[in-house]
Amino acid sequence: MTAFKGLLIKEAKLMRIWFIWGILLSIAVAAAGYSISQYVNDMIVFEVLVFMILSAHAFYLPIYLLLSLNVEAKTQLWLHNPNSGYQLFFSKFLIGFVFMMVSIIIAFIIAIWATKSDIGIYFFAKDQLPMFILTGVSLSIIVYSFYLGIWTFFYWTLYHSLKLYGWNSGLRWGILICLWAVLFYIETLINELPIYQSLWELGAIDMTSLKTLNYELSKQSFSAELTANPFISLTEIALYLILLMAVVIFSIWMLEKKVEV
Amino acid sequence: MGDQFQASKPIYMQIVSKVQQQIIRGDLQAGSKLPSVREMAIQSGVNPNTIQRTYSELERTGIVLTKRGQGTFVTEEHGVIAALKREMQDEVIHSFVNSMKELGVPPEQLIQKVEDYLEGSS
Amino acid sequence: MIEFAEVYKKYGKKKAIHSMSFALEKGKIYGLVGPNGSGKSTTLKLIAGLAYPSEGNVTVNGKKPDRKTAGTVAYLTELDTLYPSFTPKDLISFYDTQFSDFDQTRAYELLSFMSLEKDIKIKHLSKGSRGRLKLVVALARDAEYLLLDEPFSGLDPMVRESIVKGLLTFIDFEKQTLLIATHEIAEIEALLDEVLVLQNGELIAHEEVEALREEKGLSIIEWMKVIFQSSAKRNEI
Repeated sequence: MTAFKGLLIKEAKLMRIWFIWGILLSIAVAAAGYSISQYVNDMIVFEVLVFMILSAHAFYLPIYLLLSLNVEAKTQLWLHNPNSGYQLFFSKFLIGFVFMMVSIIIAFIIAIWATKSDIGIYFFAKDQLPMFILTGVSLSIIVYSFYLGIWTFFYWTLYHSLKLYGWNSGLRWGILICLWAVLFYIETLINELPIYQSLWELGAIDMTSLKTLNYELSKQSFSAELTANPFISLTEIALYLILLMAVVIFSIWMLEKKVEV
Repeated sequence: MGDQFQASKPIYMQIVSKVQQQIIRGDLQAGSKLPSVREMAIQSGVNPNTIQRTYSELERTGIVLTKRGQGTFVTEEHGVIAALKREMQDEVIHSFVNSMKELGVPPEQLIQKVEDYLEGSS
Repeated sequence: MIEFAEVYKKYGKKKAIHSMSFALEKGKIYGLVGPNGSGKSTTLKLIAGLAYPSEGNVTVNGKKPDRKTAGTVAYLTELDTLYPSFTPKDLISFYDTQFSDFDQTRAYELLSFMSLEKDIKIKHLSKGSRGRLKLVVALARDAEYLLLDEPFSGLDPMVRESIVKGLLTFIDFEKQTLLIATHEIAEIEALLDEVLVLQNGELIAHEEVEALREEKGLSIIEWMKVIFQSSAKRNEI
C-alpha cells in the first residue's frame, strides 16, 4: 500500500465521527424545521433552514480542515513523517472534500424533495425552482468552500509558523487579522485597476443566454439576488486558480520549513 | 534496575565477579556454554557493549574461551577453575582478616571466633 | 553520526539551547540527562528535523536534518501522541504505510512482548499501555537512530523494566544508535555507554559511564550531584 493511501485511510478514520455527526446534524435540523413548520402551519421555517443547511456547506471544508489540523496540532507529530508535505496536506483536503460532497448531496436531496413535493411554498414552491438553479447554487457553494479551505490552511500554517519567533497566540492572531485586511485591500485595489478591468472583459462570458441567473423567485418577498451579474470571466477564474496554487505552494513550504514540533 | 550494581566498581567487573562465582559454585559447569552477549544483556538489563567487555575480561583470565561461531564456554581445565577458586577465597580471607585487625582482634582469636560463630548459627 | 557544532536555539528571546557541541557515534547507547527544562527535548527535535537551529550546525550522517530525516530517525515524544480513536492494529497499519523501514511482523512481536492487545481503542488504554504502544511503533522500525524522549515518565516500575528489556531485545546494536532523554537516570544507568548532562540549555558534561566508575568510583547520579553542586557554586560567585 502506498504512503498516500495510508494517509487517506488514517484521515478518514480520524475524521469519520465528525463526518457522521455533520450529516446527523443536517438531517436533525431539517427534521426539526419540518416539525416546527407543521406545528405553526407555515413552511417558512423548514424552507429557510433547508436553504441554510445548503449554504452552510460553504464553511464545510474550512471547518473540517481546522478540526483535522487541530487534532494534529496537539503534538504536530504528523510532521514526523518522511513523506512530502503535499501528501500530508492533500490527504486531508481530499478526504474533507469527499465528506463535504456526500454531506452536500444529502442536503441537496432534501432541497429537491422539498421542491418536488407539495410542501414548499416559498423558496421551494412546487416546480418553481428549476433543478439547474439548485445545482448551480450547490456548485458555487462547493467552489467557495474549496476556496475558503485553501485559505484556512494558509492561515493555520502561518499561525503555527509564527511560533518560531516565540510570539504568544494573541500577537499571532493579530498578525493574521492584519494580513487578512491587507490582502483584502490589495484585492480591492487590483479589481479597480484599468488593466485588470480590460483583462476581465477579455475573458468574459455572457451567461444571460442560459437564463440561469436571471431567474426570479415566484414569491417576491423572498427573491434572492441571483441576478447580480450575468457575466463570468475566464480571466478572473484563471487568476484565482493561479492565486490558489501559489497559496498552496507557499503554505506547504511553511509546513515543511517553518512549522516546528 | 540500576541499583543492583555498586557505584564504586565498573559494571562490567561486577558481572565478571558474578560469573566467576557461578563457575566456582558449579552453577556453571566446566565446558558449559554461557548465554550469548545479547541474552546476557537482556537478563541483567545491561548494555551489550558492557557484557562484551565482561566476556573479554573473563576470556583474558582464561576461565572462559570463545569458540568461533559457537559462543563462549567455561574452560574444561579444572586446574584453572581450582586456581580461580583459591584466588577468590584468598581474597575474601584477606579482606576479612584485615577488617578484623582494624577492629583490634588479634589473629590468634580469629579462628576461635569463626568457630563460635559457625556453631551459633547452625 | 550525529553532530552538533556550536548550536543555539532560541524561541524569541527565550534560549532553549546554548552553544552546544557534541558528536554521537554509531552503535552506542547515549543518555541525555538533566532537570526538566534543561533542553533535552529541544535537542532531540533538532536531530529529528522537527525544529531548526537558530545558529550553528546540526548534522545527521553529514546532512542537515529536515522533515525527510524522519526516514532515518525514529522519534518517540514524551507527549501522548496517539490518535485516540485508533486501535493498536490501526496504528501499526498506518505506520507500515508511512515508513519504509517499518517491520509489521516485528511490531506484532513487540505488541505481545509488551502484553498489549491489538483491537482495543487507544482512548481506552491506560497511560502505561499507551507508553508501551508508543515504543512498539518506534522499535518496529529499522531506523538508524532512535530518539526516545522520557520513555519512562509516569510509568510504574514493572512497565519500566519491560521497556528496558524491550529495548535490549529488539534493538539491533550493530546498526542502531540509541539516544534516551530522561531525568530518571537510575532506570537506564546500566544501559548506557555514554551520558550527556544538560543544564539550562548547555551541555555541561559528556562522559563514558564505565569510565566514571573506573576513574572516579561514581555512579551517574553521584557524579551529577557533584557537578551540579560545583556549577551552583560557580553561579554563586
